[in-house]
Amino acid sequence: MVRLLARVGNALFTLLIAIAVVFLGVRALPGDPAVALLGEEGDPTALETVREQYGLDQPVIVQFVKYLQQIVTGNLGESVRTGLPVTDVIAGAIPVTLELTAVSMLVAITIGVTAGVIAALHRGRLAGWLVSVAALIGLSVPAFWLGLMAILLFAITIPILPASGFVPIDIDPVAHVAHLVMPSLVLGSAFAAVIMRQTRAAMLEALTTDYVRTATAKGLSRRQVVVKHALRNSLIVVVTIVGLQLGALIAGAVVTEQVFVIPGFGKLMIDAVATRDYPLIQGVVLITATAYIVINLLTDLLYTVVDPRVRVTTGGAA
Amino acid sequence: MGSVHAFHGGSRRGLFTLLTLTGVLALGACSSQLNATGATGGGGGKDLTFAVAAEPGQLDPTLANTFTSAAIFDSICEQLYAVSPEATMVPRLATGEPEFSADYKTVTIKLRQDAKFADGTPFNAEAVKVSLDRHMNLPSSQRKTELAALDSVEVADEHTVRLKMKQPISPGAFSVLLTDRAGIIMSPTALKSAGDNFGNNPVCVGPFKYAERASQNYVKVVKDPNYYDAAKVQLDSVTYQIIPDSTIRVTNLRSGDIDVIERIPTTDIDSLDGKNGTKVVKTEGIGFISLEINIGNSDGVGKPGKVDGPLATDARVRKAFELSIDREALNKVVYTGRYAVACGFVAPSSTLASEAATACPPHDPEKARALLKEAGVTTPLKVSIVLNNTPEFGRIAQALKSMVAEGGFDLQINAQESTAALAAASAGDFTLYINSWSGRIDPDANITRFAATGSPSNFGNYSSEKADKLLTSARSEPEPGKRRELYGELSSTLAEDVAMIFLIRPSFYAGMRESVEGITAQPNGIVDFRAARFTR
Repeated sequence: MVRLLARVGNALFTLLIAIAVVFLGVRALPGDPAVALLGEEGDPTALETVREQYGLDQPVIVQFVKYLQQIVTGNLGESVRTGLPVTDVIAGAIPVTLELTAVSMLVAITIGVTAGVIAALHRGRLAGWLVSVAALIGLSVPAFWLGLMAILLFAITIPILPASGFVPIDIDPVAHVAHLVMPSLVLGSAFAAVIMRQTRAAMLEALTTDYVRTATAKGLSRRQVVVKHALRNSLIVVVTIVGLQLGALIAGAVVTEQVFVIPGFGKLMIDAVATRDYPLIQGVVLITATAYIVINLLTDLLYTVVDPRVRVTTGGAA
Repeated sequence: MGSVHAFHGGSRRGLFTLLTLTGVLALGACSSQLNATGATGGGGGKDLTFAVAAEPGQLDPTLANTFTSAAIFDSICEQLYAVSPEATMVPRLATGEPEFSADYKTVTIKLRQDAKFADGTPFNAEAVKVSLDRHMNLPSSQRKTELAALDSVEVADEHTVRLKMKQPISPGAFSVLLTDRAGIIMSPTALKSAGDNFGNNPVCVGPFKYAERASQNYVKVVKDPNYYDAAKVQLDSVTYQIIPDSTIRVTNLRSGDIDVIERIPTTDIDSLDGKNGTKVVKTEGIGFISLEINIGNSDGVGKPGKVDGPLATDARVRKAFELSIDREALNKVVYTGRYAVACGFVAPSSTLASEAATACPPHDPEKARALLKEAGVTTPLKVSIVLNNTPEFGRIAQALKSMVAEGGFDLQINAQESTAALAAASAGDFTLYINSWSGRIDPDANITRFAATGSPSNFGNYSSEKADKLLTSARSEPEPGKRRELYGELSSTLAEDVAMIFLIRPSFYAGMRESVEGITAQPNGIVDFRAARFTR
């Protein structure tokens, strides 16, 4: 219990530090935020009113305490560009990114594992070589360029897919899927390459192990040996890699969302920074930091459930 | 057994993944609940998708401060007067030209009697008074400077308003007042019920009315049956899709996912005009890109002080810098020659343009070097230039650097993020600053804010008694011929002092599918959908 409280306290302190860093960070940027808020051809006479309206005329520490008070009540403020509540704006964007990321990960796993198995089984032959080259290309090509090329090919030259945008599933399920195909393939491609390389390495190792030889000697078919024995053990590596790559995949969604004009969390973040929408920037960072801290905390706690040795060790220490 | 080791080492991460993916799938499943409508999807029917370059921000006409908001207001919030594609003032919610009193201090405007707001509220003189008062008096109003000349608004009768001006105003200078967002009239009923939240659901008179928006994504407007000219409006809706990246805007137009796009980069025009079922429409601009020179800004804009350095103290050095610039080459290098050169604040298309106002100094690096020698300056003279770090301004600065080297200057480029660059200009932390202005239909609005003593956009704190007098006289002079002369004289004064250096007059290129007809654009690039239709 003490450990649990300590861990939660630690998480809250980390969160407070994260909030303070971003709060001070956006204010440390060169340029008067009030000037930025006034916009392209804003009325300079409104400068003082803007400062007053957003509390920018008060000392930073007062602004920070007020912001913390707001957060505690669940109010992240209003976007200074649109006047819409930050919580609503973020709540609308997160599911889009999560869906894109999940679909991209599924695409990456499907392609990566299949290609990895083929490359391992055909090692030293043309098929294996081709798959390895494709993986290298997938790793090397930037998502921005790949996205534009995909649009040129599948939306202009062979117009079978929409070039960009996002249609919610309840408005039009078919269009929803059609709009997700290109972005998830582009986002998933680099990760498919990583998974393919890891799967290939793990499979090559597994295929030379004693239990695979035993399985073959027992008279199991090649397919059974590969799928049920070699691949099954190799997938452990894949699971680990997927975990390590997930953060990178969500980060990659930032670029993909820009290219395909998907109103997700990444695009929101870029647009908020570009327009110096301070409450929105703070909200976005706060949500991101909270998500990481909460998931890490849950992982830590569940780890003790899954692995009794941790519980015994740390319990003893506590 | 490496894989087994890997499992032990990575099990914590694996669990992390499991948790996250579970969350991902659960939240992804409910994405449709949180995103109200579809975004893109041009290519036909009566619903048009228009790609705009930036988020519109607040949709409250009193508070709005972005170009995109002005573009949206053109569809949903009409002004008393509008700007025609030929850069003249035309009546919209007014029925005819404004009538001026003999002393040019009172302006009477007759209003339409057939107009209704989108919520059914009748449009009348009282509504005009409520809106203009709000524009003038709301503490955070962005319209105060635009309406600075206006003293008060009186209701003369149900459909007539009388505007009392602080000073006599020429019809030309008056034309700027009510053709921009300060001329937008809002529904008094909606203002009363929504108050400060009016921008969340703006209600005005327009061919379309506000329907919905998704932040950073799109704003959708639908045809308003209450509009006085509704019979002529052929589109059912217009979706303003926000696509900041110009390459992506162009690609979407080519694929047909978007019907119309604004602000095509000049480098992309060849790939669009007549190709992939697209066409391009050009509008001559009335704005400019210019170089502000720090002549007297040592302690902030609006407070003329003393600045050291030959560029600030010697007009001959400033003249030498201007003579080193080849505007035609600049236009070719940066804009593939598709914009026009600018040599003054009066656009050649203006009825007030004269030879003096549009005179262009020649490109003469030899004379520039001679002037520097005469001024006793050791060459190359180091000069720094502050600019917003956009690729476009970066190209301008690079081209200038190479040009002015020939004239005896060593240009140091200091590109900064937009707010930081603006802050540097305001604080006087610059020698040269690249500025841009979208332009208004009357010259007064294109120069007073940049050249009048103490004006908040006069970044260089240029101050000249002669120029100030000319500005005031020209603003209140009713006779167009005399105004033309005054602006000619003012242009010569500014050129003599080299208060700022005008470089380029941007044109506006809108791209559209060939199936879209009836679209016109204002000289500031705002696209008008009143008569737009699909031909197939």
